Parts: sequence; structure tokens; C-alpha cells
Amino acid sequence: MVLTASAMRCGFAQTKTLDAAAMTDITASTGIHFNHLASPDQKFIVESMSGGVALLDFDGDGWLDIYFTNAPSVAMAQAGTKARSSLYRNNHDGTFTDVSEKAGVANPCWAMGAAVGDIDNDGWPDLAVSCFGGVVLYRNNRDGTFTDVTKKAGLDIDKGWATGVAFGDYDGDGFVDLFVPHYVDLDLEHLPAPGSQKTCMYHEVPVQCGPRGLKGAPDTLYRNNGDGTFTEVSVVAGVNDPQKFFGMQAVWSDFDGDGKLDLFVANDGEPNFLYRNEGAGKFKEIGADAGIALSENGQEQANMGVAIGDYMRTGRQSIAITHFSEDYAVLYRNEGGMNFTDVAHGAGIAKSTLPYVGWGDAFLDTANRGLLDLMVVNGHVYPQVDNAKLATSYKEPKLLFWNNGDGTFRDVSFPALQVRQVSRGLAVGDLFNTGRLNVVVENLTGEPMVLQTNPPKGNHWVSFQLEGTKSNRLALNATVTVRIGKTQQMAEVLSGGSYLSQSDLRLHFGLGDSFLIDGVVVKWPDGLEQRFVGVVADRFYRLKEGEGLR
Amino acid sequence: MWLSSIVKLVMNGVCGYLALAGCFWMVPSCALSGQVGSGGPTHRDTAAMNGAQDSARGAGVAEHERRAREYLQQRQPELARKEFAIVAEAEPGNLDAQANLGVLLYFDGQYQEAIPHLKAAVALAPQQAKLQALLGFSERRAGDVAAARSDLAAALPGLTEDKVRKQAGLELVEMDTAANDLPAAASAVAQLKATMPADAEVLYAAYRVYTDLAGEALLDLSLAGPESAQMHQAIAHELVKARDNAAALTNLRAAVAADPHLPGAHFELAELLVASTAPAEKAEAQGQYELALKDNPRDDKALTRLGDLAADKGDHAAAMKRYQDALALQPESADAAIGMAHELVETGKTDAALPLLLGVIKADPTNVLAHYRLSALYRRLHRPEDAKREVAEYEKLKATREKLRGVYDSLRNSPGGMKSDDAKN
Repeated sequence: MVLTASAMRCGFAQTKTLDAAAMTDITASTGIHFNHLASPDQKFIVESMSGGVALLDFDGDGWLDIYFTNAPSVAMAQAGTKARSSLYRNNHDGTFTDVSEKAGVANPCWAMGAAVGDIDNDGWPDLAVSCFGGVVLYRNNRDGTFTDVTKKAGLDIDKGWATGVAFGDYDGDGFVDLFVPHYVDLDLEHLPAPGSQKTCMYHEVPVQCGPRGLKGAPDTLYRNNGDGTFTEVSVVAGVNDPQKFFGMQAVWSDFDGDGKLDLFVANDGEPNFLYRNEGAGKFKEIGADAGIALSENGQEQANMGVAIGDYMRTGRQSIAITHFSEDYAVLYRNEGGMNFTDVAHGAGIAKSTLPYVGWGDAFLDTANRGLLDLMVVNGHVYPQVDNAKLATSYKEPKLLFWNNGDGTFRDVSFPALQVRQVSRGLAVGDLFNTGRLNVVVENLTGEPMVLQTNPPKGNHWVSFQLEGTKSNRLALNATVTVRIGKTQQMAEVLSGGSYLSQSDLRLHFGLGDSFLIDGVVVKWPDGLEQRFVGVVADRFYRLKEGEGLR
Repeated sequence: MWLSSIVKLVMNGVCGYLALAGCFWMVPSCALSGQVGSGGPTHRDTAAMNGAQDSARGAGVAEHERRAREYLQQRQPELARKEFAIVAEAEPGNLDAQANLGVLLYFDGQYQEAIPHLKAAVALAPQQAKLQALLGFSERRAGDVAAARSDLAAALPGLTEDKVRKQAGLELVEMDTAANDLPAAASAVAQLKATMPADAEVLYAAYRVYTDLAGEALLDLSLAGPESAQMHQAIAHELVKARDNAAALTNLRAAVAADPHLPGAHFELAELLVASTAPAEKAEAQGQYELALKDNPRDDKALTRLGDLAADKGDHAAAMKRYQDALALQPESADAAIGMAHELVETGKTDAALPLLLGVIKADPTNVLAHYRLSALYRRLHRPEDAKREVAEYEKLKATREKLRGVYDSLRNSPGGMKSDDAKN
């Protein structure tokens, strides 16, 4: 529905009450009873890192489904016992049904996380699962099932510890490529015992070893050949990480707006990479020069989860990254021209994050105000801290930062977030097509948490689902900008992100008390730009590249 | 030992000199005589090297002197020594004979015998620091440590040859330390450091002297005031060095309880609190910084830290006020300047931030943080090439630090040396 902008415009609402930020824990009502396995002692680093969650509409019914990854303990793996990942199909009534076996995705591997991309442009989301031992690629059969096409696609050559994978069409051929960061080069037959080396101690307490002190692993870029197969092009492209940093999470985005897809890779305890796309399939690493490799004090941080969002409403993607405890979650404000500034302290998010080990994170409009808030989930890696009198605990609360609209945030972590868990993955999406976002948190130990935002009733919203034609079919890295008056918001279709997770590919915008959008600009990856005016709020729109909103 | 047992003797024409111990021990007799002439005793021996004057002296003495030189040329030190002994006995004021005799005796291991001749030579040419150093060495080896300390201390400032200076200085430090005169040892080692700032032996000696001094002061303090606030403060210092922050915190709390106005204690307590992982302790830091400032309104460091805390809260106005006050008290404060620059950038006053960071780097080109912050500022100012240069400088300095850290890590073998920051992330 497209109308002409008129006096109906009221502008973005500035919700004053923080009650608007409060979310409801709806886990119990969803019928989800997934349990992520975890050894009680977490003796080895590989037991601490799994837990990515993916939101995807795998069956094309218009409702988001949820895929939880799972991983065994070392002891289980050595005994040949597998960990069961779970795909929950959305029942359209607030509940979900476990369809993992039927869908064929219950036992992909020693799973870490997952990301969505449409590898064959058939319009159905395929799923890449990162594993301790490579990647598994599931092709969507368009009938509610998947087929493991890893070997056929040529991705079985990847044997490393894959982490936060992401799809993106870096060469602009219309087919999404796959970047696979790798973490530690770990040999299950020769695992270092807790406390056995100085890098296996935490505040004098013997704990699992690593990643410091262990060998890192290079990263890998697989180019989609367009025929269902991939070719490894890491070295040629210049993204192979010869220093073997501890790769954690990758995100594709055109950070400098030059029309070419850039790549950001968070490295745990090492400088981050920002690969600027130079064209012709080549990248140049500019992290340090862009100010995004290190903290504002020039320190490497334990980079884990990556959230990107236009929280300043400048039309540029800024980046928030979670870190280990005793260090702060960093917020790199995008100043334009590949120039980032760490503003975490001034923006008011640093202090609250210091005590916790942060993982999944995302920008989301919790109250449909037209402002992106920031959510971070936490959970320690060492169960031993509970008995060590260290003023920290294994289970940790989550954090929500309320966007004040002036570049700063306020910690408004409401009671539901105070429930302490050992959280890892976080994904955001409108699970029930209500115009209210949900947050799905996968925990390392036990059941996940599903949260429902409760925006004020007077606040409006809009959602766009894009479909590429010349561009990749899922429209990964297409952007939508909505404008009301002089204020505009931008969002981008992203594969992967957060911590080993996948959020809703639909782009959700809170509009405050405006029920009419003055202008919508859609920028497709192939360069096409479409403009719409007078777009009515509170609707889910679908847009096929080059066509009209519907 | 820098004094090798091998003795090389070379006579060099009329102006003879001795070259001993690997050629670095040089006693230029011309120089000796020339310099002594005006201020010292009247020396017939000075004229001994002048053929025209030989006739005025006993022909026998001149002959012995000639033979001594000849023997030196022939590398027959024992024979030369005998000839110099005859000359020295006949002419006690003959600097050349006394000095060379002393040197030859020293290198023959006859320290006691060398002493009177070297003393005589020093008396004749007090400006010849090398002779006095050799006298000091002889005295030490002969067992007269007090005299050795005195002569080496006197010689040290005048020694210009590195090897001699280093040996004299290190022997002096050793004797001063053995005599429990640590201030004297500190003085000696400071002189060595001034001219040999990168010499490992010298730096180790400095490290030992300074730590011994600290240990001595701590021992004295423990005797003078075992329950004093200062004792707790000092113990806290030791505990921080041992990375036992929890125990250090306990002692600093005891220190301020015993004396709420103990200079520096509130600041030190605040520093530990702000570094704590416990939120309650971290929250306490600000109060302690404020107490430090209340006790000493000129405490620029406390002001700077309070600025940092305000900055962390995003309170730019308060942060800038604190930094301004700190800089007014201590314009050279790098921390305050860097903090102020950060706030200026945050509030859009990027141009004003630039001279602050440039000033910090001018004062200390190795300030890693200043280089990094300057790179960020240049990016903001759209000066990418300058930003890249600063990033490169930052990375170079950081690599040096990490190399140093690697050295420490590789040397720290005991499990007790493991620290939390070495653990994951």
C-alpha cells in the first residue's frame, strides 16, 4: 500500500517510559524444550564455545522457525555420542514443534553456529552450520527438509574449527559466497589439561586452556561457482589470515558505501580485520587504519559477538562487539569513509559490560520508537569461578541498552534479563508476525530463552522482506532506508552475525507514533535503487527487486 | 675482570706510555708530565724525557730510564720494572717512573708493592683518574677496602674510557654494598648509568642497588614503626609488585584507617579499587580519589583519574573540568592531556585536541597511547596519511613492548608466576 505523504505524519515518538523496554520471558509458552549439552567442568575450550541460534523461515510459510545448534562434550565425542541440534517449526500459534529429524538437520556435526544464505537462488533459505571440524551446508529441498550437500559443494575440504560463518556476494555475480572464520587449531587427541600451563589459569584458578597459548587457524573464503559448488579463494582474495588469529565472527557489509561488499572479522584476543573490497575479487585489510582493530586504548580485546546497526541514524553501519569480563563491550561508531571511533565509554555501554563475558549481541528497536537499542547476552566460560570468590559467576545476566537518541545509551536491564544463564547465541526476529520483535537466546547450559518485546501500543512499525532478481535472491546486504520528516533509519539484510547466530532476514523498523512513512529507499546489491513514498505503517511488505511493494 | 693478566708493553718514542691489559690501559707519560708541570711538584722527572735536560740529571738515572723503555719495547716487564724502581728511588718525584712501576707491579700481582708508587703518581698527577682507579684496584686486592672505596669514588667521575669506568664503578658498587653503604652505591651506579644506559651489567647493578635500598628502607620502617600507617602502605607496595592485589587492598585500608591523611594512600587505594573486578570495590574508587584530592588539592593524578571516571560516565563537562585542573597544576601530565584530548574530540573540538596529543608525544615519543589516540584524531580530521603514520608508530612501539613482555614471560618459569591476564583473554 503506497500513499502520498501528508499531514498524517506525526514524527518518531520519543517514548519516555522505560517500561517500554521491558520484555516478557515467553519461553515456557513456546513449547521449546531444547537442551544444549554442556560438561559440568568445561575442561576444554571446545566445550565452551557452541550455542549459535538461527531464525529462518525454512518452510516458506511466512513464519520464522528456530534452529538451535548443539555440541557434545569431549568425553561424549570420544565415546562416539553425538549432540542433537534442533529445528523448531513455527506453529503460528505461539508454539513450536521440533522437526529436526524430519527436516534432516538434527546431527550436522559438533555444531557451533549457523547462518543463512540462498546458495542456488531458488528463493529458499539454505543453512550453513559451522562445526568443530569444518562446515556443513544444508540445501533447502523446498519441502520442509534439507539435504547435506557439503561434499557436493566442495566444502568438505574445510576441516578447521569453524565459527561465525556468513554469506555474502562479494564479487557481485548474484550468488552468495561463504566466509568461514576459524578459531583454534585444536587436536582432540592432545588436549592441554586445565591448569597445565600459565594460559590455563584464571586469577590463580586452574581452568580450561586457551585460546591464548594455543595455535590459531587461518580463515577461508569460498566463492560460489553458481553451479552448487564452491571454490576456495582465500589467498587470492587476501582474506586468508596468515597470522592465524582466533577468528570468531564474520559480517559482510558495504561499510564505506562504495557499492562493494566489505568484510569484518572479529578475532578473539587479537586485532579485528576489516577487509575493504578493492574490486576484482581482492580485499585489503585496513582494520588498524580504520580504527576498528583495537579498543580506544589501542588494546586487543576478546572479540566475540558482532552487532551491526545504524544506531545513530546516519545511514552508516556501526559495530558493537562483546568481550570477556574485565573488559568492556566496544562500540565502533561509523564516521564514514572507513573511519570508526570507539565510543563505548561516552555512549554509556562500557561500564555495565565490564563484569561479564559477553557473547551474542544485536541492535534492535525494542519499543518501536525508531531507535536501535542494543542487547548483549553473557555467560562465563569457567564454571570454576563460582567457587573461587572472584566476584563473578558462571551464570550471568543479560544487558539491554536503551538508545537515548543522542548517541548515548542507558542500561535498562529489566527483571527478565536478570535471570542468570550461561548464554551464547542471540537472534532477533518477529517470531509471531505481530510487529513486535522477539529475542531468542541460546544458552550453553540448559534451555534457551525466548523474549517478547512490548512496545507501546501507539508505536507503529513496518517490515520489509526483499527478494533479489539480479541481486542474490535473499537480497543479502540490500539496505532499506525509511524516512519520516528529517529523520531516517537504515537497515541491512544480513547473513550471520551476533555470536554464531542468524537473525530475521526481514527488516523491521519502529516508527514511533508515525503511521505513514514519507519515503523508503531500497538499495540492492547490484546497485539498483528503488524509491517509494507514502508507505503505510504496521504492515509486512514484500519487495521483489525492480517491482513494487506488496 | 677487565684487567687481563696479559701485559703488553710498548714504548712509544720519547713520549713513552704503557699499554697494558689488552691495550686499553694507557698511561701516556708525556701527558702526565705536561699536565702535572704547572700545578704539581717540580719534577725533574718531567724533564727526563727531554734529551736536552738529561745532562742536568745524573747520567745513571737517565741510563736506567732509557733501559726501562728499551725493556718495555722488548716486552720484558720484569727487567723494565727493576729499572723503573731504580729511577723512582733516585727520583721520587719522577711521575713516569712511579706510574709505570706501579702499573707493572699491579699487573704482576704485587698489589701491596704497587700501592706506594701509584699513590706517588696520583699525588704527582691527581687529575689522572686512571692512575687513581688502578690505585683503588690495588688497594682492594691488598685488602684495604676503605682506601679502595675512597680512591675509586674519587676516580670514577674522571674516568672516560668505558671499560675502565665500568670496572671501577662496578667494583665500587660491590664494595659500597658490602659495606652496607647503599646510598654510596646508588651514587656510583647512577654515574655509571648516566654514561652506559644500555649496558646490561650496569643496569643489573642498578636494579640490585635500588632494590636493596628499598629493602633496607622497608626493614628500617618495620623496626621503627611496625604498626604504622606507612608500614601498611609500604607492604601494600610490595604486595602489588607480587600481584597480590587483594592483600594490598587490605593493607592500604589499614593504612588509611591508621592515618586518614596519609600522603598518597587514598590515591593508591583508589588505584587498586578501580582495577578490581568486584563492582562494589570499583564503585568505591571514586570516593577514594576524592579523599586523595581533599587531602592534597594539588594532586594532579587524582584529578586526572576523577576526570577518567567522569569520562567513563559520559559526563564530558565534569571530565574536562578535572583534566583542566590537573593540567593547570601539572602541564606536563601526559594522562591529563590525553584525557582532555579525548573529551575535546568527544565534544567535537577536534582542533583543540591536536596540540595536546602532539605535546604529549613531543615530551615522550614512546607514549604508545598518545600515538594511537593521535591516529584516531587524524582520521577524524580527515588526515589519513598522518593517521597511518601514527598507527605505524604505535604498532612499532607496541611490538617493542610485546617483545619485552615476551622476554619476561620466557624468564618467568615458575607456576607461581602465572597471572590472570595470561589466562583466556
